[in-house]
Amino acid sequence: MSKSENKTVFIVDDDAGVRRGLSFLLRSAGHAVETFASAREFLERYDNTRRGCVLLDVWMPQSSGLDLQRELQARSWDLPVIFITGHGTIPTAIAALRAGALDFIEKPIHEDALLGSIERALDWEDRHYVEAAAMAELRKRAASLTPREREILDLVAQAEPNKIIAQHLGISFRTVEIHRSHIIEKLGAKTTSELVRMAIALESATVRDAS
Amino acid sequence: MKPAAVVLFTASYVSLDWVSFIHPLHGIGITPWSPADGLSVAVLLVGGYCWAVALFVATLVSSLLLAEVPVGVGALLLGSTIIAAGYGIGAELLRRLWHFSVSLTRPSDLILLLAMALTAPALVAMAYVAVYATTGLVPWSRFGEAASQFWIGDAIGIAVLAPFLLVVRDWLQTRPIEVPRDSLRLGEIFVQFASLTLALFVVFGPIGGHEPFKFFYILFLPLIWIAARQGLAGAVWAVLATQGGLILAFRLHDLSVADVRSFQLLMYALAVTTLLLGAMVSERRRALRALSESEKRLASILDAVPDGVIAIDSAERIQSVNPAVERLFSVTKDRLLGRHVRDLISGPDVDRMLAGAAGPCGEIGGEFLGRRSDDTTFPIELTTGSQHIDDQPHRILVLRDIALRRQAETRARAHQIELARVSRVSIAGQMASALAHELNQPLTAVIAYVRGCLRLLRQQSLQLPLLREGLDEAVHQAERAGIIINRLREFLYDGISHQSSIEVSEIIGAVLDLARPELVQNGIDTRLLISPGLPRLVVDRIQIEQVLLNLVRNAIEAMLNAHTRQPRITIAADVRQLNRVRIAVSDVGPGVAEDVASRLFEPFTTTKPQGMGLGLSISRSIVQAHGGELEMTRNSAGGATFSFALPGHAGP
Repeated sequence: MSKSENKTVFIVDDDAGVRRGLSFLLRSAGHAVETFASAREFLERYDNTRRGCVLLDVWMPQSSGLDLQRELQARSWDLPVIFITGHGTIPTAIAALRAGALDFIEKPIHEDALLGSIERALDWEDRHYVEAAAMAELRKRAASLTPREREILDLVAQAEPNKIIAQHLGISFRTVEIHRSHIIEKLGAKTTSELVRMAIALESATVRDAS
Repeated sequence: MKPAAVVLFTASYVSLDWVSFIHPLHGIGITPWSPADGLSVAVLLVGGYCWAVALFVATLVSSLLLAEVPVGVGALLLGSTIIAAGYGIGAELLRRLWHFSVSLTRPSDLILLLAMALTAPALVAMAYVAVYATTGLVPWSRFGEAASQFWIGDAIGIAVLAPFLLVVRDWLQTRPIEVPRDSLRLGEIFVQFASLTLALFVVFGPIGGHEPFKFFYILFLPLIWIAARQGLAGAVWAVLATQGGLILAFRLHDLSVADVRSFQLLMYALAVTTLLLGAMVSERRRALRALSESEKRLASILDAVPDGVIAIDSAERIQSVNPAVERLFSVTKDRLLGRHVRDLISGPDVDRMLAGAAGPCGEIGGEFLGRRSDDTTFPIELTTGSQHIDDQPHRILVLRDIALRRQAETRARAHQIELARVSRVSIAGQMASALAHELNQPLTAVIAYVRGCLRLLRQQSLQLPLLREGLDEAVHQAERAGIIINRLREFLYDGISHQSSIEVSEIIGAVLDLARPELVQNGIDTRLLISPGLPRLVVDRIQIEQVLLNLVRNAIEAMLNAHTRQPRITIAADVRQLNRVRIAVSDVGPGVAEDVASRLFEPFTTTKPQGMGLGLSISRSIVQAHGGELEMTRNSAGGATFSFALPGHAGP
């Protein structure tokens, strides 16, 4: 329950009865809940900094839940999405999961399944939140590296020993060691293995950004 | 006119002339009896005026052979010409001018013939005798005597022989020839002719002696008897036989010319009387036979009609019935006659039908009950009319058993109801997915509320207001599901159709409850244009809802299949002429194709891939059963409008 503190379950469903019923159940289970009657209302009212997960009805007249999911991704709002539907057909489920939905629940809703799914979503969101925060810090620090230090970090990420790096760059072994100590200091890595992990994370983030 | 026939005719003519050549005045063919001219007239009437030539030849031959004195060629030729022309013209006039029937079927035919037998010989006689007077063979002083003898001789010759020949000819022509066969009738004929012979014997025999005139009237008795019993057919034979007897008597008694002439006048009167009486009797027989045949025909028709026909008198007692009545009421005729008609027929309107407006024309009454003797009843349709029978006012009742028709109607109605129900099941099946979704919503809400309440109950501190709110909402949502279930159950009812008074808006509301899921899920804009103050309808509401739902779903499918942008359905209800309520469903879809429109309401017409094509056909029969008509019109802006108008209920 501690995990769900300051986190909100955002319910988007066109049916007022379902919306209010789910809200009642989740509140009785200790969740903070906010309800929206349509995808548009959610996009208008949701504050990007709020944490939690979205409980989304697949089947809504104006714009479907899948549309809203696409829109969230386009806006890089990394809220986990759980779909609810009375039309739990396999193609819809597959499409939703492919698009990154965390889970898929059929009406009428089984309480344990719903609450379990929400727990997992919030856990995921937690992890995602911590990782995202660490990554942001790492990138901020990496920004202070000189071009030469950045070059050396890339080679460290490939797990090259200092001697090879020196030969590769045509500098002395000693110079490599000095650069490396600067890098460790700037990034705040405690061990060599941590540095390697950081280097890999940065590299894959760069690749992801580029793509 | 075959030569052989001419020869035969000539031979017969000469023979007859020879036989009757009695007391010829002045030695030429002026005799008191000329049966040969009877033959001539009969032949001319049957064969036509061309036989006048044959007659000319025959008279010529006869005069040459029989004349007792030498006659000049000119007088001979002229005399024959007069006879041939006179009777030729007379017969031809009869044939042409008066629709004369040579079979002497009507008394008027006989009268015409007798009239001709009187006038033609008069003219012929004067001309003929004048010719001979001119030649000097007959002195002018005896002209009157000669002409009158000629006249009487020919008139009676024609009156006796011509009808006989015509009747015998007709008798011979009927195939098979009718000969009386039963011995009683033959016996009667024998006795009749025996008494005729006896009468002749009395008149001319020892009793009459030398004063035969005295007893001549006795001859009337057998002749009238024969004519009265045997008709014209008997009369002609009797008259001929009497004449024959008379001639024989002349010969035997050697009567004077004056007596013979007197006898012939009496004979003429006798012949005319007998023949006319015979003709009247024949006519009456024929009329009676025709009447009885028409009565038999009428009776056989009455026997054959499947409807019961009852005649009652002014005291409402049954006077006559046809066999159908016996069948209908399973009772024999003799147990029906004289009974009171109300023992058999009952109904609220029976007084009016039995008293009913006078007049032969049928008055169609409503439905009544027929009661059999075992007290079982059956539905009948009653028609009545008034008739006078034997100058007594009667009412004629025509009864038709409508039990079979009722059964057929009931069966047809049951089929229609069953078909409509099957169609509703089919509609419900097609809507199942949308309805399931619509039911899932409140169920989801109910489960969520109740689960939430259970959670609240597990907590230490009871939050009663929250619990109440949750349970209230759960009940509300369960009721919402209940409404849908009820609508569906009502819609799928399989009971007998029954009519009730209902608001138009209520019908439209119920239809929208069922159609809303599909409308909402497909994003179809729905508009209602319901005029205020509509009269109520008295209808089988489920069937009318079925029609309306069918139209709405057709509109939805048409627009979805055509991928219509901004799909919209308008349901309108307003009052039209004669307090009729018109309900219309319009869409903005592709409309109805020309080739489909012409057979739109026929069964098995469909444009849907899985459609049976029964929806509109059933809808139309439902609307028609409610006194309306289902129609399709094309909207000017595209799409179709289906509408029907039903009679509004007059009361509040």
